[in-house]
Amino acid sequence: MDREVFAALMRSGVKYDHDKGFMVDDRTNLKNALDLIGTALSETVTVATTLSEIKCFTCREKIDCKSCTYFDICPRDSKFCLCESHKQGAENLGEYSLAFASGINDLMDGEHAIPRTPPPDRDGVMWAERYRPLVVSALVSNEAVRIKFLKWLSNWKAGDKPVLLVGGPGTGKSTLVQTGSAELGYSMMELNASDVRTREKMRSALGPALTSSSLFSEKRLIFLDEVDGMYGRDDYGGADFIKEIIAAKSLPLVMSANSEYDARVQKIAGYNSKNVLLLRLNRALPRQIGLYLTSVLEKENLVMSDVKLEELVRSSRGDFRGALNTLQANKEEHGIAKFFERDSRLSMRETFNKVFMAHDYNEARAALSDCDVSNVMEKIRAAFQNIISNTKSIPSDRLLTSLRALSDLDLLVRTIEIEKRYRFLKYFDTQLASILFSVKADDWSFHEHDPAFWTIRFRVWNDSKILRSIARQVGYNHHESFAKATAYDMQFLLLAHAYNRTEFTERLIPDDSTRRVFDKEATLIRDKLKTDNV
Amino acid sequence: MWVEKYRPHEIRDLIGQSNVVTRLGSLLENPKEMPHLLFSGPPGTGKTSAALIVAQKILGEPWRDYTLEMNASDERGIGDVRDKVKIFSRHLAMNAPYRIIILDEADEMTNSAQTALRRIMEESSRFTRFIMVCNYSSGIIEPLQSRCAIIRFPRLPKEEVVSRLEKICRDESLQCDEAGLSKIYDISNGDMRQAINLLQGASLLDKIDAETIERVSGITHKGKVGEIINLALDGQFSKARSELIQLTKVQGLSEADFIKYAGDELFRIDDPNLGEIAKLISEYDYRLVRGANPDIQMAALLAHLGSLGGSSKKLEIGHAKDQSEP
Repeated sequence: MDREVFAALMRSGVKYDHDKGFMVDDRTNLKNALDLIGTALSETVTVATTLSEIKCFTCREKIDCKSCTYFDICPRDSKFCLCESHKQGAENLGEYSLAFASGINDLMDGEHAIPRTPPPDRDGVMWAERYRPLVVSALVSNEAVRIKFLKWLSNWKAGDKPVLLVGGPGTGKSTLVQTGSAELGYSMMELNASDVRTREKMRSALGPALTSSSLFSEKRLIFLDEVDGMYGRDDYGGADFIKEIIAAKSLPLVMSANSEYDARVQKIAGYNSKNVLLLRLNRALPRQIGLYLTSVLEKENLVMSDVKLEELVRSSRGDFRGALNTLQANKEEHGIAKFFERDSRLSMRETFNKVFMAHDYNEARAALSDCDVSNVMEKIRAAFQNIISNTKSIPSDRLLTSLRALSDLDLLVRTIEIEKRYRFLKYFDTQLASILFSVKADDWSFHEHDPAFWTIRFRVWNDSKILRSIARQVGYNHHESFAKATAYDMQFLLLAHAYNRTEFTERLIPDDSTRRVFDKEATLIRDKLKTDNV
Repeated sequence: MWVEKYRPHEIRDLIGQSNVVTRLGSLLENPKEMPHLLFSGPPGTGKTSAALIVAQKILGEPWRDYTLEMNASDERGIGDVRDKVKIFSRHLAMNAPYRIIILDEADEMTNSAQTALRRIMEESSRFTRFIMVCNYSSGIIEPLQSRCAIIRFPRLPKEEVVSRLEKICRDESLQCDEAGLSKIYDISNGDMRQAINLLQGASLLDKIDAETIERVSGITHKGKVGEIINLALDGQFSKARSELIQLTKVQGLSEADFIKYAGDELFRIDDPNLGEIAKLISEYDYRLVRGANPDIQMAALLAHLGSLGGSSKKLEIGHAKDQSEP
């Protein structure tokens, strides 16, 4: 057989064995392979096998491959397929197809793909470093963003906006800047969160380059990594200095952050598109991580069971670096076959249901620390809502202890936030677990709302707004604060309304919806007075 | 409402404040030399009315245009004060000696806002005068106090309030009895605003006697606060909490105000645990001020009150049920 056809067949996922001949499996792009063979033999070939059942990686629903947009280019890598809804949830479809077509091809076939054998000087280092792509085209996924970035850098002239690269950990922000600047002949000056970034330190590190760049023929680029890691006090004046650089626009400047909504990022860059060019790197798809890891394993001459690989991909949540680190750690400690979960995160509901079913306190604590929601205030609120929803089943002394403990914890968290002593948050899960474990019963299930609030929610959402706006008006008329108007005058106004002395209230009621609320509240007050009288 | 209808419009109409009347009278004789003023005293003693009268007398007919009324408990932040006051105090008043800024409930202002005010007061003193109104002058920072002439409004004496209420009754041609008016004074604790509101409320219902006044006082939020505390002391945690949530989330009484009124009502409790209850309320007041989650803190307070209850006699504020007991 023609050597080229053979290579193409291999690329389509066909395996060859001296004893058994050609083999196809789930990963084979059958259509492609059949076309190739057909061309080689000059006739149409059909295979009598059926496609094995393909399920969504995320939700485990069966996927109908025939209707998939990518059926033609699909390598039949069934393990990491996503159903239509999760595909849309993960990334938009255009991005998906691009990443699919080019990212994978780059990785598998591209000239500049991951080095086939690790270069000697990269030996013995962390895999995350050893397999860091060397050129832009070897990065996986986020094709469109990579192109935008290269365009920005190659067309850069003094006065252009800086770039703010946003993306989760391990999505390739630093790698993109490193490879991009190297390919376009820029030398990169990098400052990241591990450097002290006070104004003076930054000036001495970057200053010469800023002022005398034209003297050098060398092209320079400034890369400020992890700008969300800058702290006001320690990096004193650093943020202002960055603002100055941004305003100067004398050198290409790239900043990276995990989110553009972070307060520090906003302070520095202002996340609107006026000041900076915002480029967002999405998390890689399971399939891309899977292929990447497979190719690394091949190069390291290691094997890993499909189940373990799948588990690793799932727990990586689109983080290449994390996935590689986990892979390496498990190889070194336990051999690749033994593998434990990196971080399997639980939703709020799952977390609390697990806590309620916990047999001992440790189990409860473990569930809490696995919670996907890292905001401690959210956790306290959820704990509170669940205790309050189950008041009936808790003995009153136990209820008091738990609420008191929650109140203490709430206060503690506030103090930690105010004093910025975040180190103490490490006691949080332990405390919350002990509170919950002392009151919970096995048959509890997660409550999303505070029942006392939930039953009157429509009054809160609709009527309350109207009442407040009237109280504000009354406060103005009576020369007093909103609080006083709410506490006293409103009640007497409503009472007057209830007894049809509308001369007092008429001016305050602009429309029918207000009147309805007024009537309702007035009736409530009158009824209350009547029952009190009885 | 009668509170507005019977608001005094002349300095001499301010009741129970002979000292204040003399001092303000002499100030008004020479308005050009009036310093910034600080009125302090318990609620409902005529501070805001006095401030409005001063503005009217000095500024004459266009006084509304040249007076800025701000309520610091609504706008207590530094930004509010600075923006509004700065814009307002920028220009000279035409055909009036200066502009007047009335800062009501000034002791509710944050410390930083008060500090900012210090500078603003100095910068704008050519064109403006401040009248700050507060319950406790200790809530105003020293530098501000030293920039003002402080005028203290004492609590209104019972005879004065009662005779004023009697006059209102005559004007509205209402029947009233001595016991009813006396009850009004007891419940309102000398607060004229509350007293007039109670009178009007009672006039809507029925004749003005002690029993009606008691019933009407139950509809004020202060009355409801008392009720909720009763429920909590009685161990009816869930009921107390759902009432509380209605009060705060629907009617808009803030949790901080709830605690404030609860503290005000404490003196009505005849209870061996009174000290404990007062301690609890002050403690949770502190917790709220720290900015913790109010839902959690209030629930904990109610549960805590439940553990103290038991032996305690209940609060008797506008609580008609208590009257069924012999």
